[in-house]
Amino acid sequence: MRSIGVLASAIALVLCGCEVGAGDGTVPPAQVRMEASAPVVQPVLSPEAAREPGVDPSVVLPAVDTPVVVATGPTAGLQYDGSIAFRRVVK
Amino acid sequence: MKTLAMTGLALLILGSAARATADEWVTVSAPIFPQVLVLYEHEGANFPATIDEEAAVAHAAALNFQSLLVECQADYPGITLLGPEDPPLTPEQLTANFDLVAQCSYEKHTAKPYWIPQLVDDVDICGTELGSEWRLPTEEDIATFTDEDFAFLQETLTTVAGGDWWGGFYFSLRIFVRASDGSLVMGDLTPGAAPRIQPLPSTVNGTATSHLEGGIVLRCLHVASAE
Repeated sequence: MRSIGVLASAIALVLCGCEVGAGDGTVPPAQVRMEASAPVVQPVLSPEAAREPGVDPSVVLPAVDTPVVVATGPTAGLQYDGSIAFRRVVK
Repeated sequence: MKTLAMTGLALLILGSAARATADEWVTVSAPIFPQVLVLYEHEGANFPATIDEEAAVAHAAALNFQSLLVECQADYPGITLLGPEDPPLTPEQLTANFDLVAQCSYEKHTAKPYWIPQLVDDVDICGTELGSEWRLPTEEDIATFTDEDFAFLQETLTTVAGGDWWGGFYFSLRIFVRASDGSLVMGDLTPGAAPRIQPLPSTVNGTATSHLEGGIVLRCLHVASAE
């Protein structure tokens, strides 16, 4: 019976994504590790169109979540749209 | 029973492993600067009376990087535009673009980081100007940044800065942040900054409906799964 209890607890932990041993009921901050970043380089389709009232700029401006080029060095995160991106692992 | 327990343990280990590889892309936008001459007409006693009017003023004043890139290219030929069939820009071209947009934003558009706090507080400028997947960074977002993240951001901006004084605002690491209590505050992304989050300084006349000359820039955040 105790084995079943252990199994149930283990499955519950997996399903809820809880941190083992957190204990105080709070969600601990994400433990992150930064990796080499890759700039997103995509063409601007129509920045003027993005400024039209009622237009969602994401429709005409480049998406930002698809890394295209992997570079190294201090400007590795700089992207064509002027943003700075970095990849990290949430443990 | 032992088999069931072993299965449970295996599930636990697999679940932990899966969470350990949850890569994500964190993207911090270039500043969205206001054209201050637009803001000056709508501050204090002339501040918009409705949210819709506030949104209209914010949109009229806002300048995003990509629009500036295109608009500035004629006067700043060092800017390289990327066409649909062009190969990716080199790091040198990206760096030059950033520095020249910073210079142009001030010289051609009188853009300074002088947002009226009430506009930033009331209007979703990030979503309106950059797209619905962008948002104002929160205090919780900043709390997840590591020392490496702060150093990376500073190093990138330091490297791309060409030394032009007028464009200096564009490289600021002091940003607007949504605090845990819902208020608008200032976040400092400088490595080692303490405190990291603090109240906004006073505006030019002490009210939230006048512009703020604190060198605080509006940068937006985008977080996406890298899976």
